Amino acid sequence: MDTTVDIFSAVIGWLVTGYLTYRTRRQRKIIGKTTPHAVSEIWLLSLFLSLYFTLRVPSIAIGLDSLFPWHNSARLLAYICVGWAAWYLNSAVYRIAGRELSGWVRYLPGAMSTLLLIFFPFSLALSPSTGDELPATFLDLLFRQILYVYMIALLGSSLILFRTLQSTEKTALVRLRLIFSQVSILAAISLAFVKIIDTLFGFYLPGSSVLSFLEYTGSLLKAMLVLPWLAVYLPVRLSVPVLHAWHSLRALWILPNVRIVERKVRRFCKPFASENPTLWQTLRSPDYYATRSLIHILDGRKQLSSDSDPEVIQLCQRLDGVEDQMDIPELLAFYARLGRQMRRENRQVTSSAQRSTA
Amino acid sequence: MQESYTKVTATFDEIVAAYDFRHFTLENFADWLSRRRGRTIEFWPLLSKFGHKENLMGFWAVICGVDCIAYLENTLPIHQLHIQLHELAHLLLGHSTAEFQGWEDLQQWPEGIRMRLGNIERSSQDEWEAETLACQLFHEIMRHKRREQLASISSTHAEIALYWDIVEAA
Repeated sequence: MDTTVDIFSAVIGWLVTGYLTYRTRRQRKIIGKTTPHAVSEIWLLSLFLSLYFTLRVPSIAIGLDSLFPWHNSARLLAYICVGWAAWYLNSAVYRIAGRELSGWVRYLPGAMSTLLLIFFPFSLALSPSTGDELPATFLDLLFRQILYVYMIALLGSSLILFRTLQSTEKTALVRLRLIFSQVSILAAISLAFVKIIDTLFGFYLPGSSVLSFLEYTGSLLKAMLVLPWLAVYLPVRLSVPVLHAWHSLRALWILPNVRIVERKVRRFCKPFASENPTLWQTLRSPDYYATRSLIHILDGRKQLSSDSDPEVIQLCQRLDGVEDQMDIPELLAFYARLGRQMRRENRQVTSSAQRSTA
Repeated sequence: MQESYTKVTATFDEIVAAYDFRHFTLENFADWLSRRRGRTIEFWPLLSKFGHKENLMGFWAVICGVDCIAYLENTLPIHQLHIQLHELAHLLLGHSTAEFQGWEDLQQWPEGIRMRLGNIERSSQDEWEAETLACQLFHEIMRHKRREQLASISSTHAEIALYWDIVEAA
């Protein structure tokens, strides 16, 4: 399975790299300016990741190894490539976020590659490639553990920055891409953790049954790393339907809570005109019905504002927490939160009533 | 009810086929509609023009041959838009309203004037149709607005967006 995933990942990697090369060249022609550093770094990240997956394909690794008098050259190069890929990811995210990397961090990928080259003659180069992932010597184990920790550190720092970027980003399409990137990075971090455990078990308990489970998990995580990575580069034409589907799903999710508020408003102010959709109609167009509920609430909010009933005054105060500049999704989110709160309160009232009856 | 629903849906489909919602603004939409009807449409803020009238959110009346739409202005902009669309929906659905020779005639709020109220009082089949069409139009506008927002980009990432195939589609 691992080989299939590696081949599949390599194909996707080269597709993404090819697409990025095409876009970068095309945009450079159109704009006539030099490519921004962040874009170049994203391209390099893609290139190194594609090289990594390609070097992991057994037939290519064996072919490359046969060119040298020592063993595991392909694996050494793969490790170096993945180290640089993590570095370029981190650097690109820092640039996009407009932040400065601290001085010593700049030397990390160079130091890591040097370390790998120093370790190599005493570890990987000595043991014939068995095709599996298990370290043959203690040095080999140590060398891999350092690599994985380095990967986790760089990817973790990128993930934190991606989270920050996502929280401030207003454009839905960019947010979607940031989410896909985070899924990919999270899968890569998990993969590094699995590799740490896998190599430890492989070295100290080579016959353990846990190893096959870890290998399977690793392959699954690789697929989870690669698919969202591809999704990051989905063209707008394909991303927009994904986002529309997401908005509809979100509307379906918040609709029951919005309707709690609507029902509360209806108790005091019968709606001007209402529809009673069937479940199928609601499922087909949840955002339409959510908007319709919202209009009822806003009507009620105005209608009840002059009422003197204490219960209505309290309801109006709660409905009034919205602001002028709020858009439909923000208003819906606000009233969905209020609905959730009302449901909790109702539950508390019911349970305390039951307790007092008992 | 089924008949009304069919009428609303048919009108909505006709509008969607004839009007480009990608460039929607209320003024633009009203212009398009007034050209179609051959009569000017004007919007008036209800409170500043008439003062508070309990329960009233908006109305449509023909005054000196002009379609006058009054809307409650002390509510959220999104709600204001919906009220305006509700009155425009009457026009689109071919409903009728009372006609006057001057604004003074309106002070007694005569019967026959199209009013959008905040609750079920004075609700009718025509009002149901107008409200449903307004909701459908409102939803269509928001759908297009969202599409536009999806493809717009903040200036911070504008340069990178060019390479990410985001700006091109805007």
